[in-house]
This record gives sequence, C-alpha cells and structure tokens, in this order.
Amino acid sequence: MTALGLCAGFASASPLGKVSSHRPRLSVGPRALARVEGLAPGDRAERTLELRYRGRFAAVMLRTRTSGSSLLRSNATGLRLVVERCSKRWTRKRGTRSYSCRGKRWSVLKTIRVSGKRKLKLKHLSRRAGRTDHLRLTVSLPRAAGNASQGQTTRVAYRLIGVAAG
Amino acid sequence: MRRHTLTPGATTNKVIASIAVLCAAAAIAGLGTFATFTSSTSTSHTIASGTLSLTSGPTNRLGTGASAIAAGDTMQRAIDLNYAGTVDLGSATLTTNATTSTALDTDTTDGLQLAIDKCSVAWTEAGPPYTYTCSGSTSSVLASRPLVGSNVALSNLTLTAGSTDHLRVTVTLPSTAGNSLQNLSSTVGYTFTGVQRAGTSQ
Repeated sequence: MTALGLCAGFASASPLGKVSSHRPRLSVGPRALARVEGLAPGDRAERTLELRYRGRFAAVMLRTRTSGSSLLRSNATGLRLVVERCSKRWTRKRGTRSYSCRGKRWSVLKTIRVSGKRKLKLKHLSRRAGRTDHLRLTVSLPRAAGNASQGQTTRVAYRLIGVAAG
Repeated sequence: MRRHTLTPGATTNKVIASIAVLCAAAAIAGLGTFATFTSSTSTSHTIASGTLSLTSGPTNRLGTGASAIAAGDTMQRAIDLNYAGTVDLGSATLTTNATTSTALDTDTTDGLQLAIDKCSVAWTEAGPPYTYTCSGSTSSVLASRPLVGSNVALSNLTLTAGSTDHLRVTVTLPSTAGNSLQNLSSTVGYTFTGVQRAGTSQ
C-alpha cells in the first residue's frame, strides 16, 4: 500500500502521467441469509445468492467459518454444503423454500463439510465484469447425525474471495 | 579543468533522484501486481437443528397391574403420547418385553393378547377396574396380537410435533386359555419409539 501510494503521487509528476487503478470488486447479496430452523437428519435448506463482479476475476474461492459450540460443526455428522449456479435467477417453488433453475445449471462446489477451514476454488462461475452469478447454497444435515445433534445452533459465514484477472 | 564539488544541495538532488527511481520501479512493479488484487465479500446465517421428543402423560395407567385374571378377561389402560419436539415423527413402534416371564406372555396363542385404540379426544375413564369410553372418534392403532413383540409398527397416530395421541391399551387373556395358565404372573414393559419424518427441504 505504501509503494502504491508513493507511486501514485510520484507518477503524477512524471512523463507517464497519472496512474490510477480500479480495484476489481466482488459483492454478494443478500448479506444476511434467512435463518434455518428445525433441521433434522436428512433435511436440507436452500438459500440463494447473487454474486456480482466489478472487474474481471481469474478465480473465486469460498471459505466458510462456523461459530458456536455445536455438533453441527462436527466433521463426521456436521453440516454439509453444496453450491450450484443457474444461468437465470433461481425460481422459488410455491409454498416452499426450494428453488429450481429454469436455465442452464452448473455445479460450482461439490459436497463439502461446512466446518472445513480451507479456501475452496469455485468452478463454473462467469467471473466477468458487470456480470451476476445466480447461486444456490444447499446446506444439509447428514442422515447419520444422531440424537446428540438435536437442538444445536451454529452461525455459518460464507466468505467469497475473488482474485482479479491480469 | 572542470571540478565536481559536492554541496548539500547536490546531495539532496541525488537523494530525490534515487527516490524517483525507486518509485518509478515500484510503480512498474505495482502495475505488474494488479493481477494479485483480491476482493472479498461475505454473507452468513444461523442454522439450528430441531428436536424430536416422545413422552407420555399426563394420563399413563400402564403402570397399573391386574391380578386374578381369568380366561376371557380384559384389562384396559390409557396412555397419552406427546410429540413435544419441533420435528414431526414419521413413524412409531412399540416394543414390549417381559422382565418376569411366564406362559402368560410366551404362549402366543392362548397367552395374553394386546390391542391399542386411539381416541380423537381424551378417553373418559371409569373404575378401577379401569374402563374407557371415547366421546370422539376412535381408530385402531394396533390390531390384536400376542402381548410381547419387538418394534411393532403402530398405525393411525398423529405424529405431528406439538400434538398428543390418546391411546387405550387393551390386554386380553383369551377364553381359550386353559388351566395351565392359572396362577401365573408376568411383568411387561412397554417402550414406544418414534422415528423422525423423512428429510425435507427447510
């Protein structure tokens, strides 16, 4: 940051002229997803996201973080996540919180443990300036989760990290 | 002959020139590293699992025994099953086991038989000896079968979280029971087990 700040100041007085950069920006909406209640083993909860690009990105990664002391965070029987993309907005099925895709559908991220801490590269995203990707997150509780997983709560944060294209 | 004299001003000029060179290099380097710019954004939500609960009461007469029963006698006992959790049940089963066993429970033909009915409202109790009538509608939860059994499926239960089923358990000593079943005593335990509904989208 120091180097860039010096450069900008220095460049304005140089034959190169003013140097400015437009940082590519990734944004997601909504910032807060609807709460999931009463999840039982074998249940799934679907939520949709709009991922917007200002600038081009070479890659987008996802990192999930869970908080709270809960068996929902366990590796063996904790929450699982799948991410898919639809070429059109996901359509909510009447009277449910399920969403269907009326366009082309891609698998963005195959089943992972929500409690995993690794950054995972997302596939089949457009990553182009001005575009919006329509994503569906499906969180599920494995059927193997037993009685000990009852009445548990955890907060899940999804952080999407974009690496700008050169 | 030209002489080079180092003056304070000259030094300052050299330092400025050096900074300029450094900054030019940094500017070029900065342009080159634009490819590593990153941007992040985040969203979150809270996820809570539900609870599944199967309890009995307030009515529960299953602990009340019967003595001196004869062939052809029946014993009726009421029990309320409560589905107190937040997750609906998909099914319920009954396991009955004899902790003190005699031919009363091992003779599957002439020994004790079990049937269970449900009333849409609480059973009206009379006695003891207890008998029950239903002022609502009745349905069969378990057709007559030998008293002892494992994971026997129950039918027509509500199973919805927050609801209660009013059951009447009827134990009968068949009229075909012979003298060999006289003066015997069995102790039978009842275990109701609920299993959650199938997975759904929440």
